[in-house]
Amino acid sequence: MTDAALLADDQTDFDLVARWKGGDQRAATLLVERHAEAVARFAMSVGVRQDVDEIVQDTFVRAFASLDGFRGDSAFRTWLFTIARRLVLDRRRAVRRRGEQVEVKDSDARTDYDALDAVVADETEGRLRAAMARLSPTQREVFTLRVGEGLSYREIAGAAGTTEGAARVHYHNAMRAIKEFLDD
Amino acid sequence: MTECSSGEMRDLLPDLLHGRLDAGARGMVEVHLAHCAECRDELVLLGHLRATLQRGIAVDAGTIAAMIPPYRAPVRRNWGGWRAAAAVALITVGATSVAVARHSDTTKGRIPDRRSVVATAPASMRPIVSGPAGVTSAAPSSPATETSHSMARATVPAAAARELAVGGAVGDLSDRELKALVADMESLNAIPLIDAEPSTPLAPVEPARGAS
Repeated sequence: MTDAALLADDQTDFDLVARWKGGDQRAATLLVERHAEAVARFAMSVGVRQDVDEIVQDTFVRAFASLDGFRGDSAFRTWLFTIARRLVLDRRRAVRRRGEQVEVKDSDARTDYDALDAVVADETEGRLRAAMARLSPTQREVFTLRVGEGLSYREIAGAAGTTEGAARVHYHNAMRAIKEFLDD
Repeated sequence: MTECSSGEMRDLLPDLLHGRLDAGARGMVEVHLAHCAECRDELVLLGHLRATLQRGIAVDAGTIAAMIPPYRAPVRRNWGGWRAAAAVALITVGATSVAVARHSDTTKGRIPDRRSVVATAPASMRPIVSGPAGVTSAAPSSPATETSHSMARATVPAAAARELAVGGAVGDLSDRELKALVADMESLNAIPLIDAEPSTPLAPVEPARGAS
């Protein structure tokens, strides 16, 4: 781990944002390194099948361009998820206007995870991915934020544009569906 | 795989997994886990699912970071100039509206009222006003009435003015006719309280016989 990375571990996201505003471009790099994979996972959880890198890149570019509008009501990562989600929805609308089929179906996600399964040696992990692939898009989004990122229901509600109660219901339904799939 | 009946405890398992519980809540969940096999199984499953979710995605952070431009402080706009421009525009629109409204009032061909007709007539033809001591005089002409007079002159059709005026303008009378007119007016016994509506030149009035 580099000195910069070690230093960054001790700094909050807000510290790094302040450093970037002060002209330290390395702070932006550290923020990207800290959150890029999580944003990519989130993008995949909401059905992005290709160009995940592009979504992640656009998310960070847009986030840094509007950092003055970030009030700190939520965690920086949650705010990134909100931006990524909006980008994904905008992209779907654009594709829909072009007349392409964009509805994310379970079968689509399954294909996506099937492709990943090909490179996953562990059979258990393959089954877990298959189980998550069977979730509805909303369930998968909430489940990824809850289990993969450890967000609270309130944070999930903010990022996913829903309510805390609905997020809780989606999480428990997802958990039940995964257990049923694994029990079969 | 069965489920624990304690939804509250199951709700907290992802938070325990991510180390987001405070000491009190963490201790409470751990006590529950010691007695609940279902929740222990679920916690193990959540650990596997978390590992699966966090694996297999490689993002080139360096490339993404290179796309981020240096910070630029937002430029604060000076709204003072805009406010002044808006005020000027508002005043201009208001003044234009008033002018247009007045213009449309005067050009709609409305029937001129008595005052504007009288104002068209020369000063000597203005209504006679009876003062408190019985002194008669032509109605005084204030600046305001002068303004309305000038507006009336501009708006009353010439034909109508000729019809309603008494014998035309005073400028049309000779000195002799003018003197006769004044004498006639002075010989009147009664002065109407309201405007007379003369339609013909005044004829000399013989003083009443036997009047004292």
